Amino acid sequence: MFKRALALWKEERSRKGTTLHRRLLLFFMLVSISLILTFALLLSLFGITGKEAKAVKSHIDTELSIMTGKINEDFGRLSLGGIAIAEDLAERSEDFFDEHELSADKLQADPELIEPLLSEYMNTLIATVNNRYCGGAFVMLDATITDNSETAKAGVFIKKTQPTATDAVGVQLHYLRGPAQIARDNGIMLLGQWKMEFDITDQDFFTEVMDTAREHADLAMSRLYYWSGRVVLKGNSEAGFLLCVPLRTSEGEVFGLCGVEVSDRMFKSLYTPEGGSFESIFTVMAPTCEGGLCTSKGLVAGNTYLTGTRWDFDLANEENRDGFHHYSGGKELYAGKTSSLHLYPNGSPYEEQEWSCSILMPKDILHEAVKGSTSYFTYTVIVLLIISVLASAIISRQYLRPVNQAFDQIKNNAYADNDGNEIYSEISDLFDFLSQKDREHDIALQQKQQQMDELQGEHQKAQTEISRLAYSRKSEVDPDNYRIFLTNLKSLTPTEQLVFEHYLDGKNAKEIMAILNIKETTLKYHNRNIYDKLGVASRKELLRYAALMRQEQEG
Amino acid sequence: MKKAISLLLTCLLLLGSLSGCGNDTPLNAKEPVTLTMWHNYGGDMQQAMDYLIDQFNSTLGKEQGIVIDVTAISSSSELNKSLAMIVNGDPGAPDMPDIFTGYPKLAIQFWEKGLLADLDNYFTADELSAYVDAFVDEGRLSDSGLYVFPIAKSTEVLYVNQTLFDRFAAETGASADMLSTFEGIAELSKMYYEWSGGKQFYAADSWFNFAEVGMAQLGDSIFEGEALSLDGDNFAHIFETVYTPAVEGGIAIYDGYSSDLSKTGDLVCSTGSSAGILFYGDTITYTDGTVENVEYSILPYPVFENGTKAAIQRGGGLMVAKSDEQKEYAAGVFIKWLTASEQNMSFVANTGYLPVTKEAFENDLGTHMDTVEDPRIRKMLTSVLSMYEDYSFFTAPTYASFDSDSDAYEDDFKDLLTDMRTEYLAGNEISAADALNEFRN
Repeated sequence: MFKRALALWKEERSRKGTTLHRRLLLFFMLVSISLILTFALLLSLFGITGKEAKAVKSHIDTELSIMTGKINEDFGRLSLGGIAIAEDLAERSEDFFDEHELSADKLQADPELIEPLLSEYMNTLIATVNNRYCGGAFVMLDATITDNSETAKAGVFIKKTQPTATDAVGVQLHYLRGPAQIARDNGIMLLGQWKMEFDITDQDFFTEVMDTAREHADLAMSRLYYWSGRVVLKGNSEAGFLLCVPLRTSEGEVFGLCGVEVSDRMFKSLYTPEGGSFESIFTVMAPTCEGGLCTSKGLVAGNTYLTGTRWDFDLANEENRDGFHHYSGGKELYAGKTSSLHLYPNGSPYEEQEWSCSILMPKDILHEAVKGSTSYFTYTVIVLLIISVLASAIISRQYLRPVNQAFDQIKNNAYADNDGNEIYSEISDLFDFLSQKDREHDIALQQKQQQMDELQGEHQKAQTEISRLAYSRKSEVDPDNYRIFLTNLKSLTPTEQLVFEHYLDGKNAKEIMAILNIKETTLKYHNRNIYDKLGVASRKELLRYAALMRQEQEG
Repeated sequence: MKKAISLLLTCLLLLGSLSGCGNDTPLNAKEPVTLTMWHNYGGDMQQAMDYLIDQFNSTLGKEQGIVIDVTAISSSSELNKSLAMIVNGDPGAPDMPDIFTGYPKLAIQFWEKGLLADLDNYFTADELSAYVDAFVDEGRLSDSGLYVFPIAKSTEVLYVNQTLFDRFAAETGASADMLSTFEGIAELSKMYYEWSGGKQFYAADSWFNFAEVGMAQLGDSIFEGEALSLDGDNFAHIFETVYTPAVEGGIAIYDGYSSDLSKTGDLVCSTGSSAGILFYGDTITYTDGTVENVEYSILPYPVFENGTKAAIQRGGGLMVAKSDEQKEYAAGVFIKWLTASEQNMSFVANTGYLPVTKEAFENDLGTHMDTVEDPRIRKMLTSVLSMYEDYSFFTAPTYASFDSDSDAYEDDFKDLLTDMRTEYLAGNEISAADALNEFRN
């Protein structure tokens, strides 16, 4: 049924053509849509839209550059500081060993010397914590006063709860590990999680650093420092990266390690990226693993919308697209940029360990930021297009309204009453033109009527004359012959009838031959037959009888 | 035609709506406001507080556009020092945080300089009625404005290393009943000092509190207007009770928290904040590295003989820096959430503080005891609940020089007793009365 309706519409249209309104509507729509789309295209070409994508990329690139530089510099400085601490503590240790006629590897045999040795370190450790940004400073000896030499390690850990304060009044140090008396002697408060010695169960950094230092006895201390991944010391509650620098005597005996902590809180204080208008942006520093980020061993700063201060999952690298790195992990998707960090110098046994700094956001938030006002812009363009279509319909209809009214007036023949009150001069001129034409037609009509009346008068006169002649002729006509004439009309053949009627119409012989396309001989043949059948001797007599017959028929 | 015009107008309205709807609050989720926060819930409590703040930031904070950024965690005394620098305008003072914990006595200093927001502007009377009235009143200053919002309360209890005490009592016949009075504790101190060959038995975290509460128990007061008064027999009795064992041995005069001494087996019992429970573990470590499993008992705060059962009630509250409407409003939203019953109970269960809402304090605490996972906190709460049935509680007065007066008392008292002990060990015994005169002067 739809096809039939469509076919009927097409037929009607091809017969009548399209309407003015439709044409004007399409014209307006074409103009307005073209203008809107051209404007939108120009905005896109000149980057007025889509600038959000550039802004996001630019912001992330800038933050990544700043953060990577900052981390490289800070961690480099801390590494150098750690080396200086190790050299100082090693020197103090050597003096102590000399004083007590002890070698470093024999310390375990004299555990009562551990506490005095640790006491020697306190000034250096306190100065380190007071003068540097760090979460704490520590020393761990490969010795213990307990029987458990496998996992218990003597040492000291001084924590700083305000890691980015230096020598500020009111910043107190706290004691996480070490002999309590040393803390009391130095006026340092024990933390709730205080234990006397370190427990390195399931924590590889101690043995790894010690063993590596022993294997590379030829390397300078500047090549032997190590940054652990995120570590939570046994019984502690705060996580951090530990810079571990081996303690080595001048004779190459490795007897412990020392270093500083970049605590979770410190990392958050120093490396939260500038969010700007981008919520949920954060920094991740972590070792890389299989192309992704080992965030379970890293630290995070920023995006306080992330639940939990630590991640226990890694981020796997997804396909990079739109200029961003994409990661998945912990049932979430993240996107941003990553660059490498340079934590170790050339020649370090750890230089193959890759670390990265990333500036990331939850993926949906990043894409929202990239889209920015594009969706708003698209929505606006769509609404404008709809408005333009509606406006075109309204305007075109309004525009054509006086024209349609004029057509109606013409159809209803009401323009003649136009007294010049039309707004539009073209319509007014058209009405005047039509009225003028009507008047001319009226005049012509009158003239024709007059002519017709005159012709009718003449026709009447001729008819009267014919009747008069017919009447006079009747008196000259033999009634019997006239009767034979009337009776034998039916006996004429169709061709003869035709010739007879042409004679009645006043046609002459030439005309009849031309009309019937016959020769003269043929016509004469027909004439003879007609005369014989109708009992007339000539054409004149034939016409007399025919006139009489006509008169009688006309009554 | 009319339909077309209506449709056109609808589209125009749609376009207009793209500019966004109005917002009833000054907050905007798209442009979150960051509030810096200092608090003193560190150490083992830090995880509980971090968890709550993370939870806020990722839920209500995210919805409303509020980010809480903790920039300092320290003990209250450390925070007070930094805050004192700020209020005094000292060079090198850090920036004032938007929200910080502290006591009313600190609030006065900020309030006098117009640096605190009046939280009455952000809580309706109905909302405030959910909190224990006395706790809310503690946070009001002389203009009746609410400047310190209660978050957690504590009292003082007696921590006893039951393992060490039982060992001592078994050999000396000492009675645990003696732990209920300070006179009894003084006697036990002397006995323990002799029995252990010179180890200390008792210490107080705050000797000022010891005197302040003692005077209240004896029906007196250490305050006279906005100054301390050490006159009278009651104070003399308090002083003399501790003097002899402190000088001759048995009572420790120590600069740090008593829990430090407890951890190394150098103390048997101490009076300190009920919120200090997490500083007491289940082991002690001797100087030779030996680790011993121990059990602690938490007993009600001792009372002076013939005195009434009274204990101090204190607890920091949250103060909000005076700033713009957006930040103050955001702080109000955060405080409301943090101190709501559910969050408050979660905080209590993980820190050892006491709740501040009527619902939690009066109804939930006993009911939810089993849900408190840490046995130490459970033990402490049981003891404190019994105290709230028998004891009267008072809060320290708040006047401008309270801190300096109490700090001076503490330092002078410790210095005096340390000096007296040095003299005693050198063979110069000074009587309690003479020492008291010296102290009073």
